[in-house]
Amino acid sequence: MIESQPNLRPFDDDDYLFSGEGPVDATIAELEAKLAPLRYRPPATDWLRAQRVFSGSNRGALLAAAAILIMVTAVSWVQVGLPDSAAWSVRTLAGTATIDSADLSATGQFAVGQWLETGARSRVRVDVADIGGVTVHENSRLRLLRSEALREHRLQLAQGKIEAFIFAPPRLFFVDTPSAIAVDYGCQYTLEVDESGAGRLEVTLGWVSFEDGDRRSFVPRGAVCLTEPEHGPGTPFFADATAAFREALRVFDFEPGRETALDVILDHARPRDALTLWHLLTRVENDQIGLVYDRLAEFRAPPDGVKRQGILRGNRPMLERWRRDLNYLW
Amino acid sequence: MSLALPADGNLPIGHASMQARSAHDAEAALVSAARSGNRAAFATLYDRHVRMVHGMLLTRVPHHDAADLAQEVFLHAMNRIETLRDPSSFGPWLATITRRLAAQLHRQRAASAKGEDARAAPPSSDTDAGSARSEAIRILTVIRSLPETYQDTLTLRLVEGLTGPQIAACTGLSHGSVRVNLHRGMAMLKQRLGLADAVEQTS
Repeated sequence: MIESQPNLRPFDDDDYLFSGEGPVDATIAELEAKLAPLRYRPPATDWLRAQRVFSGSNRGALLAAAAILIMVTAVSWVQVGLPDSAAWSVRTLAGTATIDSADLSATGQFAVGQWLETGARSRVRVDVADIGGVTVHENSRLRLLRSEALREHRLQLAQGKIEAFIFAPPRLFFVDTPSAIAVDYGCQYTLEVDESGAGRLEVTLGWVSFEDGDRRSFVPRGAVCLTEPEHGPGTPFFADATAAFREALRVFDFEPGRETALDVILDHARPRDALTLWHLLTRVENDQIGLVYDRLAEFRAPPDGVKRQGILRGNRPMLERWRRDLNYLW
Repeated sequence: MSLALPADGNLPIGHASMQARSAHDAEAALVSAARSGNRAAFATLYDRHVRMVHGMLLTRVPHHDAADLAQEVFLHAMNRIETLRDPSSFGPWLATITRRLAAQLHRQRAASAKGEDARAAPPSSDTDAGSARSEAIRILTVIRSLPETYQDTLTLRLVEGLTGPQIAACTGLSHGSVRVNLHRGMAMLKQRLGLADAVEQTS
C-alpha cells in the first residue's frame, strides 16, 4: 500500500517515470538527457559481445567491426566435436604474416602443427576455436599445438607478443613459452617473450596461473609476472608497486643477492603487495619465512585456523586459506 | 482467458502474470543453457543484465570504474554460475555479486590508501569543467546522496533507461516497490536539485 506523502501526487499507472510511456515529463526527460553521458556503452574490449561473435551468431559482422582486445589465458573450452586437426581462422590486421612460410592473405586458416609468423609491421587476429581470440603482434612466432574439443587448446609462443581473451572454464587453454606455461582461469592478458626466452605476463581481467612444474604464480588483474629460462615464473607483483619493490623482486627471483633483496621487498611492501608476500612464503629460505609472515600479518592478520607455526612449516591448507582471505587486498 | 484489452486499456492481472511467468521461464532456460556451457546463452544474459549491473555500480564506485568492473562482475558470474540454485533468480544473484565486488573494490582502495576512510572517499571528480559529462556527474553525485533504497532504481531509470517493469524484472523487486522507490526518490532528487514543481512546493 502506498503511504500518503505530503506534496506527492498519487502515482499514475502509466506515468512516464515508471513506464517510460505516456505524456513525457519534461523534468524527467531533461534529467535523462543530462545523465546520458554516464550510460553504459559497450567498450571496445567488450569480451562477452566478442564471445557471441565467436559463437558464430554474428561472426561476419564482428570480424568487420572495430578491433577487440583479447588476451591469452590458459583456459581451453574446446568446441564440442572439434577434431584435433581443426584449423583456426586467421585475419590479417596489418602487413603480411606467414603460416609455415607461406604468405597469409587477408584471411586464412591456422592448423595444428603450423607456425604463424609476423614481420616488423604485421599483426594478425586468430580465432581460438569458438572461445575467444588472440591478437598476434609484430615480430612474433606462434605455433598451434593442440585444439581439441572439451579437452585442451594449446599454443606455443616462441617469441613476440600476444594479447588474447578467452571465454572458457579454467585450465582449458594454455600458452607454452620457453620458461613457463600460461594457464587461463578466465581472463584477458598480454604475454611477451624475447629472443632469450624470457617472458612477461600482465593480466587485465581475471586470473592466470603461470607455471613451470610445481612452481606456480597466481597472477590477478593488474598484476605482472616475469619469467626467465633456468628459473621459471617469478613472483607476481602489481604493476603499480614501487620501482624499488619491483627491482628488488627481480633480483630476488632471478639474480644472486636474494637476502638483501628480500629486506628491500619487505621494507617497500604496501598492503596491496600482499599478493607478492603470500607467494614469497613458499619461496624464501626457511629462516626467512617468519619475516615474511610478520610483514604480511601487519597488513592483514591471518584468519582463524591459520597459525604462524603452520605457515612456517609450509602447511598447504593454511596457506590456501590465507590466500583466499587476502584476496580482497588485491 | 480472453486476451482482448478491457475498455480501460489495462491488461488483466492474469495476462500480465502470464507474460511475467513466460519471461521468467525464458530466463531460467537461458541460465540452464549457460550452465551447460552454452556461451551464446550467457552472452544473451549479459545483454539483458549489463545495464542493471552498470547502473548499480555507478552508485557504488567511481563512475570511470563502472564499465570495467561490470565486465568483472560477469566474469565472476560466469565462473560461478553452477552455484546459482534457482535459475530464475539470475538477476538478483547478479545484483548480489555486483554489490559484493563493489564493496571489495572499496576495501582495496581503502587498503591501498593506507588507512584512509574509504566510506569518506568522495566519488572521483571530473576535472573537465563545463562539459556535459561534468553535469552528469554532478547529478549522479546528488543521486548518491539519497537514501540507498532510491539510488539504484533512480540510476537504472534515469541513467540506464530501464523502465520500471524492466527494473523489477532485473532486480527481483515487485512492480509496486520499484514504483514507490522511483516516485519518492524522484521527489527527493528534485528537491535537492532545486527542481521541485511549483505545485509540490506550494501544496
